[in-house]
Amino acid sequence: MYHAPRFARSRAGKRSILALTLAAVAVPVSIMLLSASGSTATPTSSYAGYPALQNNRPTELEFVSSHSATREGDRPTWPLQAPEGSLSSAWPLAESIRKLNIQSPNMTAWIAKSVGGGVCVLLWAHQPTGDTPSIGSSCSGETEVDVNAGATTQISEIPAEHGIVFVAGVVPSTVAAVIATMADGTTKTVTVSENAWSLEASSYPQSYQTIPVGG
Amino acid sequence: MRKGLIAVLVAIASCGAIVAPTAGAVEYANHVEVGSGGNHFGPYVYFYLTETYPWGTAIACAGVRSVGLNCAGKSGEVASMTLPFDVESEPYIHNHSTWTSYFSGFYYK
Repeated sequence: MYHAPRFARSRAGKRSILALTLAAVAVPVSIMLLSASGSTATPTSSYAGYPALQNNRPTELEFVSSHSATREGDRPTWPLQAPEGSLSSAWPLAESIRKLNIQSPNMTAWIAKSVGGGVCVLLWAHQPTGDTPSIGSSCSGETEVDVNAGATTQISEIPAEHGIVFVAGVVPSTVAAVIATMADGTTKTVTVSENAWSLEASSYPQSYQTIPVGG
Repeated sequence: MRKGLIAVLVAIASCGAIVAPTAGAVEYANHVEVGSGGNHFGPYVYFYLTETYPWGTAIACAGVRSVGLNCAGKSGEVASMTLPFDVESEPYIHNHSTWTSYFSGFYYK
């Protein structure tokens, strides 16, 4: 009779401790999961506006495990892995690279997802035979707003093509056209096809403006 | 005691592995000031890839002298230029902003 209340208190105490322990584990785990779904992890829906990332067109880009130590060929290649030591989350993932449908015969461009969750554009401005082939790339930031703003890359200073600026960009499928404003105030309007647009100019455009579908 | 010492050594080694510089990347410029439209050239070396990191809202360009120059389309984004083989040249930073800005530059070999 004397011990019964103590036993009851002991069982209640154990239950309380168990409940507190579970809460102590569950609360931080919930916080971690909630924070992970916020700023750092990019939801799959971020790429919903980029069907070009799903196309089955041949990439026409050779993927290599390491770059060549000596000059080989007149076409660019792309590393299968991000460069060792790169600090950038803005590196195009090799497995996500897809060829874009751009109209310029002097350029080849690709779209890709970045390591950090952004969208990238890669551009090869065809150099004359004998010159060094190169790919310029640029990626958007990682937020959904950044991804929906697209990415643009601009290549110039190719020795045999001085004075020409090659531009390629990717935008979501809600964009119908891009207007580039040149230094002299004139504008060039280019239509978007399968998320891609491109232009050649004699100087760097000063700004770009997007025109939405139906706008 | 011995287990504790081993744990401490493993922890130190792990930290070292995380912060140790890797062989591929060489930082040739750290937070250098570049005027609007100006360039900052790196050393004459063998490399196959260069990256330019802008600080703040600058518009960054990554160049390889005598090969080409690539500029990001938006401020604050990293620009890179990748070659299929090593070249002997100079990586360089170009400031495409209309204001003086700061950049870091890397090349990879």
